Amino acid sequence: MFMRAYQNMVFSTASRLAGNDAQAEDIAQEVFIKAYENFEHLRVSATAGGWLKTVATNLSLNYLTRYRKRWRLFSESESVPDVPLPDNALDSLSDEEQRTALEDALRRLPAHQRVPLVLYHFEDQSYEDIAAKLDISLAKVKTDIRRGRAALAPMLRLRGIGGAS
Amino acid sequence: MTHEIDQDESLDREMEARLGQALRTLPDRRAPATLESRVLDALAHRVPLPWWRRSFGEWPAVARVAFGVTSTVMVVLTVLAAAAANANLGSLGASRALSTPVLHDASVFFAITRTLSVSLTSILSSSWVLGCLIASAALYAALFGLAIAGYRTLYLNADHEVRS
Repeated sequence: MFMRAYQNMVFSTASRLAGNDAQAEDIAQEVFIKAYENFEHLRVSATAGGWLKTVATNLSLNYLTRYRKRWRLFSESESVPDVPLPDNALDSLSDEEQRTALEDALRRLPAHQRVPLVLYHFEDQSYEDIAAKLDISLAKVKTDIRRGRAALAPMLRLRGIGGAS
Repeated sequence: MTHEIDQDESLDREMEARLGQALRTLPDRRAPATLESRVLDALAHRVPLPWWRRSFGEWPAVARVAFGVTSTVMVVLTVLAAAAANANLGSLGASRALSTPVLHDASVFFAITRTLSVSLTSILSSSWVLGCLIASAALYAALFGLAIAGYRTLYLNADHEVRS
C-alpha cells in the first residue's frame, strides 16, 4: 500500500534525473529498500513523500556521479540533439501524447542540461544550490539550463502554452 | 545594446515561466509493473540480523534497559567483591591461618598489591596523577583522530575513486 502510493513519484524522479528507465527502476528499488529500513518512522510521518523524493534525487545524483568523468567529457562537446520539429507537425496530438512528447524530449536532453533543469523546475532548487550539489560553476548551471529550455522550446509550442508559435 | 540584453533577459524569463508551467503539469510516469515484485524479492533475500547482532541503538528498549542495569550491577559487585577479598585475604595472610596453598598464594598477592598501592600513593603527588590522566586523554584523542584520518583517506577516497 505504502509503495503503491509513492512508486510513480519515485520512479518519475529517478527517471527524469537519470534519463534511463532501467537505471531509474534500479534506483527506485534502492529507494524503497531504504524506506523499508526506516519504515517505523515513515509510516507515521506526514513528510514520507518528501523523504522518498529526496532519497530518490540523491541516489540518482550518486548514479550520475559514477559517470561524472564521462559526463564532463561529453558536456564539453555534446550538443543539443537537433531533432527538427516543424511548427505544426504534432499539433494534432492529444494532450496525453503531447505530454509524452515533452517527457521524451526532456529525457533526450544531454545529462549536463537535463539534470540542472530537472532540479530547478521539478525540485524547486535554486541555481546556487544546484551548482553546489553538482560541483559546477553557477555560470555553467545557468547556461546549461538556458540551453535545455531552448531545446524544449518547440515542445512548448506544441503544448500551446503562451502561444509562442 | 542595453535594450538587446534586456530583451534577452525578458525572453529568458518568459521561457522559464512557460517551461515551468509545462513541466508542472506533467503527471508522474507510471512505474514499471515489475518494480513492486523486484523490491519484495530484494527484501525477501535480505537475511535479517537478530537484534543482538545489530547496533545497540536498534536493540529493543527492554533489552537496552536490562543490559544497562546488568552491567551496572556487575561493575558494583565486582568492585565490592574485590574490596572484600582484598580485606579478608590480606588479614588471613597476615594471621598465617590459611589452610590451603591457593589461599596462601592469593593472600600474598593481595598483600603485595596493597603494599604497592600504598607506596605509589605516597610517592605520587596528585598533580602527577592529573598529568598522567591528561596525557592519557591526549593520547586517546590522538588515536581517535588518526583513526578518522585513516578512514577518510583510505576508505572514503577509495569509495570516491570507485564512484568516479
